[in-house]
Amino acid sequence: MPRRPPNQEERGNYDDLAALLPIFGAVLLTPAIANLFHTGTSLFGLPLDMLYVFAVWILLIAGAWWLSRRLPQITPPDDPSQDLKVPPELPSADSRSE
Amino acid sequence: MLSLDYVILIAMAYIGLLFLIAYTSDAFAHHRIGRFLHSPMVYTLSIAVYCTSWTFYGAVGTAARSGLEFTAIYIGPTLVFVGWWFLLRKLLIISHSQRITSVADFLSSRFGKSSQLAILVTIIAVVSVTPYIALQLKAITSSIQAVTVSREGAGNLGSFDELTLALGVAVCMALFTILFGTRHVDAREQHPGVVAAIAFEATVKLFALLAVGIFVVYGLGGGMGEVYRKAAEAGLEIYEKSPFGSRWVALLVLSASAVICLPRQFQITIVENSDENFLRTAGWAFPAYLLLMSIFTAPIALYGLATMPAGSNPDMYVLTLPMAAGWEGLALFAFIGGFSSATSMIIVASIALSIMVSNHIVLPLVLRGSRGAEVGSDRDIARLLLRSRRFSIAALVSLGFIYFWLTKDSDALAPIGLISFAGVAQFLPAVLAALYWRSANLEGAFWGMLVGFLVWAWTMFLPSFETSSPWVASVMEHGPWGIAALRPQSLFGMTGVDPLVHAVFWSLLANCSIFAVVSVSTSQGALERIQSTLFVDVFRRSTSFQPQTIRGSATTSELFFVAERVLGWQRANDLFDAAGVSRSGSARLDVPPEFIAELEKELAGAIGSASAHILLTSVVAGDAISLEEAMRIADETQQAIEYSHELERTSQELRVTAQQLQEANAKLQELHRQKDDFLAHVSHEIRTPMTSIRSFSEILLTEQDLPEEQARRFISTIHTESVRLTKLIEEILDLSALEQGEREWVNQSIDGEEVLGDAIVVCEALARKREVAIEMGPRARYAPIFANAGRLSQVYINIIANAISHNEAQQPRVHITSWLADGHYIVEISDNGQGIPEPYRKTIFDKFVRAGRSDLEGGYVGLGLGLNIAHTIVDKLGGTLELTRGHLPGACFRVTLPLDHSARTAVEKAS
Repeated sequence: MPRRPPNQEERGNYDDLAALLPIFGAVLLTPAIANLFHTGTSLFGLPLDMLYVFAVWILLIAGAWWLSRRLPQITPPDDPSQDLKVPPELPSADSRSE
Repeated sequence: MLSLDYVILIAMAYIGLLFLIAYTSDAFAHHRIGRFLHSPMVYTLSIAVYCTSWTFYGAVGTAARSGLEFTAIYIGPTLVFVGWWFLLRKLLIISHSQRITSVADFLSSRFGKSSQLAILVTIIAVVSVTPYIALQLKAITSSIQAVTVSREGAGNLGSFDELTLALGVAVCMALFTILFGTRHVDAREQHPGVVAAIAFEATVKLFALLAVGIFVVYGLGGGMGEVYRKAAEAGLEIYEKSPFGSRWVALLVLSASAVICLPRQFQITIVENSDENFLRTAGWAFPAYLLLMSIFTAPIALYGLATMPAGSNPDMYVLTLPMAAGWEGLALFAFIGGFSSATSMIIVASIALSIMVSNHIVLPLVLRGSRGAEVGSDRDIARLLLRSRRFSIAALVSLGFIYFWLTKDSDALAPIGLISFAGVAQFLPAVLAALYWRSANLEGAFWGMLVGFLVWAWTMFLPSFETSSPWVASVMEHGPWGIAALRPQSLFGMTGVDPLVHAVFWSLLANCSIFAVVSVSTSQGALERIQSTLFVDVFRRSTSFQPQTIRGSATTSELFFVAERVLGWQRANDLFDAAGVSRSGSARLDVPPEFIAELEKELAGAIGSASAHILLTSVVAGDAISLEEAMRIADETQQAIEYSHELERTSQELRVTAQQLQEANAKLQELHRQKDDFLAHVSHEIRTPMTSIRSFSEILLTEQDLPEEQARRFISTIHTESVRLTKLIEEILDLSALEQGEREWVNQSIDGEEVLGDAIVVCEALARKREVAIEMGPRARYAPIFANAGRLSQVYINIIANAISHNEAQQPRVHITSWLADGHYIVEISDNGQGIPEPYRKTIFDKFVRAGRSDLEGGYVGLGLGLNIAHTIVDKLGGTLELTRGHLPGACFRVTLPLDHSARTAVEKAS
């Protein structure tokens, strides 16, 4: 499925999200927060602490999957096309084809 | 019970399958077919070499012993891969552009292509990883024992013992690795056959573990919740035993750094990667793989603890649970899964380490010994490399085997995985600094890493021998020479901390702080500075930039000789041809420095950057890189950024200028049109009187016998028309003077009322002649304004005269009134005539606009310039002239002028 290429602003947002995702993951898994779920209770017969760790884990994977479809292609610096920046007001060929 | 021969046969058959997969994949890759091998999924699966037998079997053991801790080993890598866009992407792009061959090469290249750093990294890697290889051998033999032990517990190893088994496995692995890992020295150390086999093994171990998990949880246990309920009934603690604490954090940090710094992970993730965009998939798929690997770990452990007899080894639950249930086929599958994890780790780790050993230890020694002067045959360096790699692989696997042999009776192998992680974690500060810290330098990296490594060896590696060495035990008890502050597990009196946390804390603290302090207090060499710019600013670098780190001259034949020794005749020839460098010339100064840089890069792909640099500098005579060049490169980045900003700004300015030009052009055209209109009007106005003057004068000239009275009338008409023409031209001149800006226009403080009174007096004569009554409405007594009295009077006279002469009412009247309001002086002049017809109300102040009919009685007809002139004058005085509705039914003009401020305040004060 062809996806609309993100514009400059969106791209910046995705860049930031890509940095925030692992940081949020790390923060959620610090003892300070993880221990809030160390209650000795269970949910659906499973310990809450384990469910919490796995839930964060799944969220991280889902977030990475979501971002992987939106972050721009990786272009090695040898690729000359990277330097030819299209001015933002000119619609790119891709967005016109939709 | 499975027979030992049968299990060994299956294992051998499995290794045979791996050979086949590796062989066909290599063949496919060679012929550039088999696109599926070159896919993000294969890449992701090959990264799963992270899951060794330590995680395959050991995770269940860890879960049984210390609960959720096992997930930390997987979550660390998850955080790194989820954040691929920042760290791994940069690492990958740099490594590809610099043709990096290993983690040692990466660090040495970044810190000035230093050989000593590469050697240190290689030694740390070998010391940390060799025990890890032993751990895999241990896991294989234990698992063979586990599946062949009968339920009664009697061992059935028959003629084989543990050592023979381990030796057999080690030999097979070394053979496989040598066959597929050292086929040739490549420009980019890539081994498609090995990668395909590793990816296959990753699939096998995932399905094996999932099969066992599903069987135990849903076949035996009756569902997730049920497993936990039964475990709770059996008196087990199903909740986390102790809260998440410092050990949890230490494990997260260690596993996150391991997935970057472990030589085998670097080899697979960075060196074997053939397309940067595969990371996009690996970023979420590898964490998902890890999640699947661990989803059944805790239930298997709890079920095993609840049902297996006391004293059974929880590390082997994955095998023993299906065995105990009589599912030997499943147990065999699980065994193959564990076998896969172990073999894939041994293969990739020994390839990665052998590349490091041969490139960074063997080759520099040989090059230094021979000074590159000996005459060698085609590819002799390449052959030397291959030979040393094969030897290294054999040596590394033997080392692993010897380690295993020495420690086979102790359980010291169990925590070896974490010891290994903590060892390679000493690379992490340098790797991160290599990517993000421009002024980090070689001295800092070297000393930080060395001290970190020593602290690690003291606090973590040494204690692992506690059970096998009384000396170590005594050192741990009392400290060396009785110095209690240096006890390995309680440095400087830090007691009561988990030994792992203790070791990680002290080693990384020492590493980072020495690295930072030394880096800040010493300076970078020229080559280091270049390399740091290339690494840190990899995304900003301009494309055409090629650092020339070797300057000087060399004969092409010497260069070709070097290239041929490493790359082979064919590749070297292609390279020289592509660059257009002729090989026949033996004169110096033949070779452009760009080509030497290109050649160095190409060689670095095969033998590592430090060795390539040594090799070329031994051939190329000339000075080393100058500091000026280093500075130029550092500046280049900055310039590129500034240039781009400049461009953006300039194009913005251009756009604005173009816009302004367009507007100015439109205005000019409008003015041009107005001028044309004006000329047309003027010509028209002049033609009418001119025509009558001409025709009447012609009549007078030709008709001699014209009656006197008629002749007089004709002459009078000619006179009237000439007056009209003069009037017209005067008005045009007046207008033009106004529009050009009159020179003698001087404003003075005057009384507006006085000017209005004078104007009325002037018009009274005309009013009497026309029998128009001028009525006075209420008047302001005194109106101080700042204006030109003559011009203002002209305005009033013009309006009043218009009101008089265009009034066709029965009893014509003109009404004049004035007042002060809101700091303005307002005069209204209205009449009871026809008024201005609706269509003209908007344009009455334009040039040549005449409202109403032409004067049939031949009286004075306005030219249509008077009101325009009045309007222009009022404008100039800062006031307004407008058409409103006033006292009388006809037209009403209102002149509004601002009062003179200074005079007004004076008036107010006076009153």
